[in-house]
Amino acid sequence: MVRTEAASGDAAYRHLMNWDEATSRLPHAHSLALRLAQLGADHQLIADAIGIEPEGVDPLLIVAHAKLEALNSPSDERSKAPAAPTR
Amino acid sequence: MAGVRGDLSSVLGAAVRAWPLVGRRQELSYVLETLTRGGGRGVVLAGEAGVGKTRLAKAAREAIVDLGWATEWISATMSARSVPLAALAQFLPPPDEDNQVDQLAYFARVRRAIASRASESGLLLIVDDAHALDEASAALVHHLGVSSPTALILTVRAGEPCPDAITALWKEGLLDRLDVQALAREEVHELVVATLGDDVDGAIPESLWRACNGNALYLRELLIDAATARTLTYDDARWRWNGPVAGGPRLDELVEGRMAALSTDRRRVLEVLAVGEPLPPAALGLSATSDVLAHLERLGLVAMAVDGNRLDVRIGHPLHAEVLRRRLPVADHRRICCELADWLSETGSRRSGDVLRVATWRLDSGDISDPDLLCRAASLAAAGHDNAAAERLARAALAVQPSFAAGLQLGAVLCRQAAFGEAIQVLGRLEGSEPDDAHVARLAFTRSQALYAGLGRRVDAQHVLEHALTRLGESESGGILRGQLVAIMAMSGDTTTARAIGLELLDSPDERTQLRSITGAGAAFSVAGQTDLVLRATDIALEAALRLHEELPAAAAWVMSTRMFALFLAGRFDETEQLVNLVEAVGGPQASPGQPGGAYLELVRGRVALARGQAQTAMRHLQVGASAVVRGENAGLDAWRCALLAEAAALVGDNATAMEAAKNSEEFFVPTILRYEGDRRRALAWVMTLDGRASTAVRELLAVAAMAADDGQHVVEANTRHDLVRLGQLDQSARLAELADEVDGVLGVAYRDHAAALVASDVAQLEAASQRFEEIGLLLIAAEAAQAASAVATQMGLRSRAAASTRRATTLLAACQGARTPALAAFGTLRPLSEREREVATLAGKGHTNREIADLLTVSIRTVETHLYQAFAKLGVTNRRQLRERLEDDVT
Repeated sequence: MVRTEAASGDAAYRHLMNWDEATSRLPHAHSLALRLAQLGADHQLIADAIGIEPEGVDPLLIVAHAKLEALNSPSDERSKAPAAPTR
Repeated sequence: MAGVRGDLSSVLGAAVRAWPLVGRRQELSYVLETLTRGGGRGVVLAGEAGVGKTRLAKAAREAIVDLGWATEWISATMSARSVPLAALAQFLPPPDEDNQVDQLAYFARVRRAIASRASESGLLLIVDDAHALDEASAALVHHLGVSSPTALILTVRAGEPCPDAITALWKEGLLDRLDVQALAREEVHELVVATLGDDVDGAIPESLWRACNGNALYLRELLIDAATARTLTYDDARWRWNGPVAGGPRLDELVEGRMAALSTDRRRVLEVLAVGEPLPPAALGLSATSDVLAHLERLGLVAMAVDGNRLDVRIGHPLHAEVLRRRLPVADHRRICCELADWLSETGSRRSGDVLRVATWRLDSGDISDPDLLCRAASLAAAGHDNAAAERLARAALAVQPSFAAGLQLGAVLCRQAAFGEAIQVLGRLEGSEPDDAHVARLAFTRSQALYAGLGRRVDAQHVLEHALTRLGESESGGILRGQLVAIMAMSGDTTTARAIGLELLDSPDERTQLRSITGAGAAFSVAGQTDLVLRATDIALEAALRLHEELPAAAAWVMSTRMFALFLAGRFDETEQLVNLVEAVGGPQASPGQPGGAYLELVRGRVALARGQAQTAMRHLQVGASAVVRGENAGLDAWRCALLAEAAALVGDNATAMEAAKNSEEFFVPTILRYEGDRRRALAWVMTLDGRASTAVRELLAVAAMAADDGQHVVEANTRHDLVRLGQLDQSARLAELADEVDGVLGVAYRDHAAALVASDVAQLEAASQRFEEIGLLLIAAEAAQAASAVATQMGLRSRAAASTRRATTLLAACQGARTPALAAFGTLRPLSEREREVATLAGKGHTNREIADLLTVSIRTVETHLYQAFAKLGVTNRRQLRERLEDDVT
């Protein structure tokens, strides 16, 4: 049991380290928005910190999350053009 | 993307026409999903000028056209703003016959006129620079947003006033607002490479990133201006940047355009900031809540940040400051400097950097009446690694009033810029005028540095140190000089003596002596394999360095670089990289790739990547900082860097780069600096091996091993003898077994076991060796061991084990970025023949002599021999009969 907890704690730590490392590679505003959101900051605070309007925070976070995900995917996934959505 | 080649016009053409969309995949996905989801009406793309809003809108238009949509594009301009509805003129129906315009009815007709242009799939209307729309057009666009099926993309410039009707579109939730951000560092690097191609000098992308700050438009203009001014050139198959990264007329025009509408007062605020940033509002004659600052901040022309208790104002973008300074008349520049110096002197300096700022402003304004101030400022500039500023200030101080302090400062900063000859002259004049023991030591130290590291005069350097030590007697100040003696011995390749003296110095009760000797003694013990001792010593020294930070600001860097050297020599690569990242994070500007400190970090990264088999990553790191690493106290490093670069290039078959780098390594080699010599010569031996000169390489490696053995450099010897084992010299295994006991950590044991496994041809031992190397991170060697296991298993008829080992080798090799070595080539199938090699091999297999093949293909015999060697190695054959059979097998 103890071993499991230790292993899971270690995995969580590694995940956090990877998350930190990955966010630092994002554009500054995206990185800052994600970190603030993770700390529980509200939209107004995030908007003030980045210098955008509060209505822009949700789209910014969606794009920031997508960029973060792309950083953790193979490089060819990152660079290819987005698939055109179908209606 | 293929790189742009050749003349200026192709550069301009590529930069302007084929400017690639980089780093916007997620934004584009967001826009397309918003446009095409049910109920989504569109997106407002907001952002500063040049960030790429219009480029993103164009990309969205291209994608949506592919889905069968119709699109319309409107560009609003400030000049057309005075004419109502001018931006939408293309859609306007004629007014009613009685010329009475009912606005709602008219809008409905316009809406229908626009809707009539839709295809079956839909219509997308793009309004570029919607903030510049006149009120009536803005109201109409708002009307479309409220009541039309037409999808919209609007671009608006952040900070610019925007018509209320446009703002309401996102405030009322009718359209999403997506703020387009500046590109990240990696994206700028990618954009530069996508535009110019792979053959770009390593430091260019980073320099451009620092200049453009992620603004794609500025990046484009910088490239075009640089190509026009021939600052950016394409020589010897590489893009090179000659001189500082700064814009030209196109960029000036662009930046001036952003400031054109400013009043004289507001432009003056920017000019003062361009000269003196960062400044508090008071220095600009403004209050923190001033409307002027708020306005400039909204426009993105200034940025404000709280630093401690002080509110700092800066120019919004580094290139704006560059342009403003360039266009400022000299007289205005001098007057601003004078006013700023007066202001800071009157308000009282609060930070150590303020002294440097006052002195620099005084000097820039032509006031050199205070030599003490200039001298103190020179010290501060030197501490901040701003060598050019330190030299200028020290020279000014000396010109006004010669002093020991200013002379020593000038001599030291000249050394750091590799001007050793002048440094020796300046420093030599100071002997006998030292004010105290500490300065006797500092002068002797700096002179010995210039003599040894700079001019290679080891004996003279030792003489200066010994003479000063005689003068100092038992004085505590001698610690620095004894440390320097050890460093010179370690650097000269006499690590045995360095260890003998160094151990005593590391144990010295005087922390300054410990710190001064850590680099030399640490290196001497590291190459001897006494990693644990070095790590313990650096643990203790780091505490001392932190305690003495004020007095010896560079001491922490000495300790860290010593620890790095020990860690990567011991094969502890993860820890090395963590330390490199840490030093870079806390190191400030001197840890940037353009500075010697940062160049060393890149070199260590390259060395680690090379050991891991990641040859292309290694090449990238080793090409960065090419011009910074050679200077001053880092003399000798560049020869090492070039050798490692040559090895990395040779591993991936980039012979041109390998040969050029190997040649440079010899050219930059400083005969008296031998600290890296074992590693350097090993790297060059690998270049020979991969170039087909295996027997010469073996002789060279044997010589390196003997040199290392003579001097007790056990790690260097173990690395070298293991290289020999990898080249088939299995008689090295006995000595490797002895060395495993001399070297701390896992590396020596791994080498010993690998050699023993090869000697015994033992599948299980080879599998274990591969596993061990993989754990250490030596993936290329792990792949070699796995391939050897596969070969032995095949000979023994153990087919499934052979297949498993081959799979393992293939997986490991996949992480090695195309790197191949002879041990791998012997197993053929993993490495395909090049077209030329196959051609030569086929002719040889048919019985042609090398001379005949050379004549047939119009190449030299040497070239034929090289291709044949490669083909033999890759296919694992040893004669022409086997070659023919193997090629026939391949065909069938």
